[in-house]
Amino acid sequence: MQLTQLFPSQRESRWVHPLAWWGWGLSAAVVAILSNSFITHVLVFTAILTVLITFRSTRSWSNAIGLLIRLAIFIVLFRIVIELIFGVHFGGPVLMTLPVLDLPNWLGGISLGGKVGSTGLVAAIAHGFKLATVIIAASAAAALVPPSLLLKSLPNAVYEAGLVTVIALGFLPALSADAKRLKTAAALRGRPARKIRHQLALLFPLIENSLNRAVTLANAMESKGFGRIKTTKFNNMTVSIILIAGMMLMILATTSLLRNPLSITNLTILVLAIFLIVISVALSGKLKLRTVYRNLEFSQTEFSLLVVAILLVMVSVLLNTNELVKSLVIFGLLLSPIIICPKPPGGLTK
Amino acid sequence: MINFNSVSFAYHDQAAVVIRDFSAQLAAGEFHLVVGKTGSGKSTLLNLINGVSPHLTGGLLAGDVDIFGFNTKQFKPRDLAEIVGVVSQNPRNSFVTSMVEDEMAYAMECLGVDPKIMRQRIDEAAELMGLTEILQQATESLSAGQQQRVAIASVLVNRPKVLILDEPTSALDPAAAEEVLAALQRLVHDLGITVIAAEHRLERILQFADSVIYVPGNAMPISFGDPAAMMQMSEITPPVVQLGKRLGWNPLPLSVREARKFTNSIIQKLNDITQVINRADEELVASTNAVSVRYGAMQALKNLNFEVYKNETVAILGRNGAGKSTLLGVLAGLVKPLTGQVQINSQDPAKIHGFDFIRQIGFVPQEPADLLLHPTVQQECLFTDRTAQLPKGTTAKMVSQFLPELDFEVAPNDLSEGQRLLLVLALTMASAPKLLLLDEPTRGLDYDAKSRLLATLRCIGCSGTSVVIATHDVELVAELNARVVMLSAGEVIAEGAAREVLIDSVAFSPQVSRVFSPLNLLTIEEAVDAIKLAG
Repeated sequence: MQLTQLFPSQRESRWVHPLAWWGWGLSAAVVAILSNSFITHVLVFTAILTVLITFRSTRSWSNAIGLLIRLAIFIVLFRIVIELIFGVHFGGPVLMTLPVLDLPNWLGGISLGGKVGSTGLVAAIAHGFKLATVIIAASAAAALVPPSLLLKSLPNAVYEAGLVTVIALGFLPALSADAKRLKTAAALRGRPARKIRHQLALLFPLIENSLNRAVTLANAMESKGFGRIKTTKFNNMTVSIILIAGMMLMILATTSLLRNPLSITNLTILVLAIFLIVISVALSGKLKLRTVYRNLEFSQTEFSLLVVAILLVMVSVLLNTNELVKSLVIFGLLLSPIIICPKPPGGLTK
Repeated sequence: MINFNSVSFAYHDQAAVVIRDFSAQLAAGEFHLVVGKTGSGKSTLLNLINGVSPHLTGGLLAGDVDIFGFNTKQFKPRDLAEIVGVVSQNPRNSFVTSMVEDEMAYAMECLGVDPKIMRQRIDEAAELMGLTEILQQATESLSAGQQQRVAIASVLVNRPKVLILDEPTSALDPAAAEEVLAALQRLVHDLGITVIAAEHRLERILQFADSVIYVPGNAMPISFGDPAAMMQMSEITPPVVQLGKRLGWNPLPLSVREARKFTNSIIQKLNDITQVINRADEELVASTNAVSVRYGAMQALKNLNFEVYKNETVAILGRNGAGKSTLLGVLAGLVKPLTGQVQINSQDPAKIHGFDFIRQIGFVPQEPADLLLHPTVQQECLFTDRTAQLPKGTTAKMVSQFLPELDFEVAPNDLSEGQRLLLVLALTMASAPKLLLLDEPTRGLDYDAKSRLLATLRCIGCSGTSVVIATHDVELVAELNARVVMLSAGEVIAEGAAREVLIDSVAFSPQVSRVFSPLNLLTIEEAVDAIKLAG
């Protein structure tokens, strides 16, 4: 083995396939769901942040990390507020006493506020943190790869829906820039848009600007030949309908499986759903809607990342050792992308 | 070959016919320039070539447009994608992806080009447009000139026979415009691509044209022919042609080089203009003191000192991204400087709001339409009367002074670009601000609208309001004879009277001064007078 293969920083930088990142992120989410240990959650959270910071690029969603951290803080605070209002004091020293509001019987007879105990508060923080970790683990992949690259690896059946999403995402910064400009313009006319009523007046020009931009973009796409290649064998629409049907059956199956795990009907629906999805994706591969420039490869690196994901789930389900040892193993596995994966192109500015 | 065969076109919602009975054969492999006022139907004519009109815009098309044998009635724009490439007026809004390389690949992906040959085509197009270094960059981060070249490259990858461009240089500074035009010139000469461009800034582009399509507007007959013949009949001409017409030069010069043939012999007889230095009032209206502004990693202004005195007109020149707009923002208190002080009549502009603001500062931004918030001109006027606490009708009086023909019940959005600018200017001037700031006011204006703006600005300039204009338009600066402050990378690199600074500059000198170099003449009037004086 050559030395350069051991040190990814020496390798040529490239994007790792988004599916591999999703596998890694979702497995981290599963680990966080299955575990009830605070230490594990802290380690999972730390590992994910470390990977996000290591692989951040100017070209992925640059502010995603800040956004995720703010989201985490919000979730924990929200959970604490819920605890303060609805929590029942069941032990530990009383930290403070809030005014009590007893709800009438027809509202369940719950009493709001009251004593806040340390045990309850600590449990609330731990629970909030677990929730935050799960959500951040599940959305980490989105921050690691630009949405346009995710689009490349989408099956043709959902390509158009994906394209719409990516274009809409691209519109957001433009929209906020427009809004800022219009607010400035209102101030220049001598009436800063501070009141809601004045801000609503800006909505109309804002919509008009966006429509103009959309028309320009539509014209440009049409002139470049968007939507030209149509196949005669399988209609694009048919494939999309099969896919959507499969997805809906999937949702139906999973929700009922959560309630009633051992039903033949549920399992049948699940198998049918998977079948439909596989069929539609396979069919859509035959629809030659477009060709893809520099499609992302699914190479050794991506397979290793998926193996890591499977190992993570296996460790958290099967390993019955000391909780601390287990969390350290999980921590190590979660950090392994730093060794396995090459850096994304673009790097950091300054 | 593009064939217009008695083409007429009208949009559904307007009874008016935009184009009436136009027939022409545009030869392949040439540079065709479309000339006309705003709203004359130039863009419609361009849209007809690849069928965007009527397929996407709607409307009624009579007659036939044939493009290399394809009739646009039968073929949609998407079907013509490898024959016609279109670059829209605002390339930034037409980008589908967010990275240069992806944007170039996008058009090929749509056509199902084999991925194996995509790489080579991208490399070639990037080479041709000088984008090799920036293939991996985000389109958002590029300068306006680079974005324009990316937009061209991203349609070139499909090897079109025809390239259509709507105002390719009007948002660009002179140097960036030259880069884009040089690239277009290469496409015509080396690759035999037919280029059809509409442009207002004729002084930049006319010399490259093999033929001109003159669109007079109001459904009057469109003429097509040799540039010199078209310029002879066109109302819209660049300074060098106006000069030739005034002085009766024959054949009519279309470029500085052609005009030099007439002036080389007489230049010795002419005299320099002795600059009358009308020293502005000593009273300081606005100033910045060692102001620095930073956007992320980019330093927009560096320790900048800048003063505006009473009754003077200052033009800020510089390339895209030199800090012109930022300086205006700082003066209006919209951009907060990192260090340094700003003063407008010894107040900090950031702390002036509402009523006080419009009595001190008038600001016309790059998109003047942003300032218009109401459904009719009348309501806009009443709004200004209220916010500026003026007697009812004051603003309306100002508007009719700037735009005598204007109907007050019309929607501001239905006005032409030039009218809208003058309307905004009138609304801004109604409160008689001490300082008027204009950002890029001539962008998208035709010569007609520009000369009205010029007259209005001269009138404002001597009414006690100081004017600061950030612009690329050297012809405007020459006509205004303003004090010039030249910025580069956030620093002042030259300062002085227009006559000194412009004539000394290579990129920013007006056409007349190039024709009469080394004399210090700036405008057509001055040149005509000088020749009269010499007999």
